[in-house]
Amino acid sequence: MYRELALKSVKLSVSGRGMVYVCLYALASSMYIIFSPLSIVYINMVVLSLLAIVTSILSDKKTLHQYLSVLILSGMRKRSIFFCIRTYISVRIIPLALVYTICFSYLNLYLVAIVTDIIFVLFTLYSAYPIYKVFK
Amino acid sequence: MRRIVAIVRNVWKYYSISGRMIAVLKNVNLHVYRGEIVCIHGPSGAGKTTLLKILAGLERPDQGEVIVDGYNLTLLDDDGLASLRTNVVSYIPQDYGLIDDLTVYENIEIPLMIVGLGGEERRSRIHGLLEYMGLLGRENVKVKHLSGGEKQRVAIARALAVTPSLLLADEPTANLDWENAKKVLEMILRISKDFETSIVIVSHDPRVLEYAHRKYLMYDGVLKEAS
Repeated sequence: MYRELALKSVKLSVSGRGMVYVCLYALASSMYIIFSPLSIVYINMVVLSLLAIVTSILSDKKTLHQYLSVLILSGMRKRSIFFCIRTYISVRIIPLALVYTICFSYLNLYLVAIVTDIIFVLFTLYSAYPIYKVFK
Repeated sequence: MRRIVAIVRNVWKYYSISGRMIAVLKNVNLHVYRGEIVCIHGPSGAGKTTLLKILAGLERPDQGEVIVDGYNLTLLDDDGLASLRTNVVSYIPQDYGLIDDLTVYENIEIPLMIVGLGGEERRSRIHGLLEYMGLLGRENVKVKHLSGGEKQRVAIARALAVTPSLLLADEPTANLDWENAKKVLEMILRISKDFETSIVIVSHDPRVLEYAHRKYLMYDGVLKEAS
């Protein structure tokens, strides 16, 4: 069940319009980081990337709302719904995490890359509950 | 002797609106027999949808008791209510409860995935449902490209996928013209006969009452059986 629902979440996340926004943002911010390698730029871009993810989710809020409604109506447990939301967000984060990890590694900023990835993981884990509450 | 599938006993429900407690359901009593269609008619804001959500385990009553297929909903926790929606009760909301970006097949597949059916069994069950609902050949069409009547049939197919004892339909004809509405209501009649599923319909359209075995009227949170 989990594998199939994870695939369904991935499909909805990838096919949403917000995914295009995230990819474009990742591309733009990587160029900015490479051409302006300043610590204030890194921090700004990481914070803005979290906002970009929130924006991408809001741009697909109708689909996400419908998805959560169907899961609730079909009798899915709250814990499993959180799993689906986390999968959905993780897919949105992957392009950003990938681009930032490559950029920071290219600039020999491995510690910054690790911290950024930890921030993304924490964001994925802790944003499921508020998203569930908002869309429910 | 006819078997009772759902009992609503002395149910009260309050909502807090700008700091004031408003009673949305006032001492509501209802029973639904196996295989019958019950229609609850009343104006918007009378509390019909709230009652349906309580029967579906999506909301809890503040007072009273709700028993569906032997399960006392007031004693179940959130996971228990979720299990009830998996096997016993299906709810069709007014906006159909479908995902526009997925195909007809994928929409019907979701409840079957949650139940844990294997791929082959899912395929044959969905094929049977599509045939029954007259949707064969439309399985790969995205829901956003369907007409209102077709969406309603897909919503019914999704709700029927797990063969529930109680099917709850919130304003199933609200977004349809009368020709399509009649087709949907005839389909609901056929379901109650073929599957012996108990069906509760709430509607503000009085024409829907013709299709019910028993009728209730709801006004300002008070439910009364109509003759």
